[in-house]
Amino acid sequence: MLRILAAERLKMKRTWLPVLVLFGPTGILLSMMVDFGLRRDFLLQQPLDSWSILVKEVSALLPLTLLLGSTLLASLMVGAEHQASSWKHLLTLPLSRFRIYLGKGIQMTGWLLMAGILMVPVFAFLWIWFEMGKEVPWGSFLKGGLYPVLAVLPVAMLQLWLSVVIRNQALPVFIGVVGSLFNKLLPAWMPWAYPGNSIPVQIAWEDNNPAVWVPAGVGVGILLLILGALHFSRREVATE
Amino acid sequence: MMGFARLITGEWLKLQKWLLWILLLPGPFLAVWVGSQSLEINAYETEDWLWMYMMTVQQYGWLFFPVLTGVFAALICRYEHVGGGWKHLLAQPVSRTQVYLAKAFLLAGFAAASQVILLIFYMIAAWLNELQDTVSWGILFKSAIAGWVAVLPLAALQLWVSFLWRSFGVPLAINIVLALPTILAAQSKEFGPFYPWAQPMLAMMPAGNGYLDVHTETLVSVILTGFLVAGIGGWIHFCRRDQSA
Amino acid sequence: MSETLVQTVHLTRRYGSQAVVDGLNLKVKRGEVYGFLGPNGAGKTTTIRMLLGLIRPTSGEIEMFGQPLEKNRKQILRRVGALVESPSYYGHLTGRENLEVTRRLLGVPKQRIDEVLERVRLRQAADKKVKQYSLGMKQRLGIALALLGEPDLLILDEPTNGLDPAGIQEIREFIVELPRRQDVSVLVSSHLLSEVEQMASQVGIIRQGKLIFQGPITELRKQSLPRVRFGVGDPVEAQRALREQGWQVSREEGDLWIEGLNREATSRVVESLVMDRFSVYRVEEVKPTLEEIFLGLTGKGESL
Repeated sequence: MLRILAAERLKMKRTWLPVLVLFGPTGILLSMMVDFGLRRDFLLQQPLDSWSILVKEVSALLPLTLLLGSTLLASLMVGAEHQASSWKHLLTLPLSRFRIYLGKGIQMTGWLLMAGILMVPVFAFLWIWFEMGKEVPWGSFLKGGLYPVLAVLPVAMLQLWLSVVIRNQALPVFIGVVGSLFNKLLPAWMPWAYPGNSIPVQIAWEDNNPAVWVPAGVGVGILLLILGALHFSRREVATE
Repeated sequence: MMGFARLITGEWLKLQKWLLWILLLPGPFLAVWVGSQSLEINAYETEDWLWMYMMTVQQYGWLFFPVLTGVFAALICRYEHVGGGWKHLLAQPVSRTQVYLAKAFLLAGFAAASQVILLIFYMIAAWLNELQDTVSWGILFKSAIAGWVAVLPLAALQLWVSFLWRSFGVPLAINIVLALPTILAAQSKEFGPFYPWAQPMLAMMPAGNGYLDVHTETLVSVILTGFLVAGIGGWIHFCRRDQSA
Repeated sequence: MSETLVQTVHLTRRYGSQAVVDGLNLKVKRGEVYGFLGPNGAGKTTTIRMLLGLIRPTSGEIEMFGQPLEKNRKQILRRVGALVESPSYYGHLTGRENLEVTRRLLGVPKQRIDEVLERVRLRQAADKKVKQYSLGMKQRLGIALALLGEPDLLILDEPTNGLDPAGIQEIREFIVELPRRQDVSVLVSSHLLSEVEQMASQVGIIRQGKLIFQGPITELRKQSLPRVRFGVGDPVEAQRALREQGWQVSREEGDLWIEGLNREATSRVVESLVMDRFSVYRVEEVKPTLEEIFLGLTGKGESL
């Protein structure tokens, strides 16, 4: 398994993937700089504590960014294999197919977690820059970054499977985009709704409940990864 | 001119038609669905049909429509990138300008098709909610056409980026990443009209309803400039570029 | 008796109702270069994909190294290196990095990379991006990838496709040396007999999914009967006379031809011609070339 991950890491050299992972948190930081810069006083006069206000503003972008980011991440990672027509090579190696697929899923989770951790300095920067409080709640920052990431795992694993199965990446990306954009309309049990409902503060938000949706995200994510891997290990590689 | 017509039909043949439908239908459908759902929460003194339309456009215009255009742009170039088709296509006795125009023409056509489908779904929804007699069709058509024009600079830009990158994901990633700040940009009167990804929604919002009221002249001039820059830039670059892959 | 590396029993693969591979019984032994021959579309690539477990047979069995492929895929693939159709490579990585990706997956020592680069003579270009490689270099990189795991059996699907004559020659020499120098057996597919003739000791010929010949090349030559040419005066009359006696005679370029005559029969034909007072000035046995045999077996129209 470690070998597969080591190989995966090398494949991503000179690709856009790390840039994309950086782009998400950076984009959110810049947007929030503008947002708070223009209307800090208005935002902070709400009858909530500063952390709740910050996380509420960020949650206008973060779940959506993670949903779209997972879609693109999956497509970029898998697209590289399609383009290199390397499935047929990869699968003639003495490796279990199940693990090859698992390797992709774990790598993807790694990138997403990294994006989540990068949210900590983003929160911290905004907190300090806009003078939101004396004490810096690092623990909350970590939750704020990681909860939505854990909740996005089912969608990420679904996109991974779609990108593997459908060679023309237009389709999986499009499905991901539609699912992401309309995530707020979907019933709470649909995976696209998890990240938005995993904001770690109590706000008047209908289905917001991290205690439910974060574990659900992790559980369903693992389930979908295993199902995808099972399907992958049975699949034929005829045209690639 | 005959050559150009043949190029376009050639492009058309390359596309998988079922895929077009899959790409074109769900977005407008969901947007209109949201619009009709939000009839219940019409707290302002806006006429129902207009409220429904505004809510629809808000869903459709601010991310979906620009991103869809990007997907189409990437799709139009994909067949060449994948099969090594550029060298084949450009070795045909057609000018590169014609090839560029054929692709651009098709892309504009898809954007228009999406607008038409949006209107059709909206009409069905209006009829189902018994609003058909109150609807002011002139405003709707104007809005749809304005949205189409406003997406053209973006389309030209995305076509350019899609020519450049072999990878399917990269142009789309750039597109989506840049589309996200629209949420913020569209709230700013000064900045909004200058942000290409915010233009389609701004152009589609029926004017004078308390929403962000952008001067039509500003929007038109910005869109026109953007279209010229992206269109001419992409065109010149496409004509000059060496074709290695 | 040397070890049997590949054995298929009634291997069949259907797409819909069409059998692309139909009841194939292949046998490849250790130390051989086995040429898998057939016109394009005859089912070579489908067979190779099945041997590598990329697709599943509709029916029939595959045994490699004496083990069923279905059950022991991983152990078997550990001993196999493969290049299927066009090589697989990541264009944004260098040749060395491409090998490193596979090396990590296989878990072989690092110096293998330099060894295989040397073997396919890519050392100079190892640190260039594969995007910039020529077709021949990409093909050689594909072979290097296949060799990386020190396989006992190398499966190459049309390895000379798209190469220039010098490149073809190079790959050919390389393949011929493999069993002798490294004890690597090779299964190589091709649609050109002339190519296989120069490297393979055994051939299997496939046509429309069916194996129509399998054995040593020398055996292939014996397969088809020689024809005997008779140079006679007045060939038209002579042909009629022979036909009346029941011989299957054809007339080409003013000579008479009879197929499949042994010595005794030949002398009887000559005797009867002379008795009928036809002048016989030449009797000659003509062996068909391998290419003619191949075309005869695979059907002329389909070979190109």
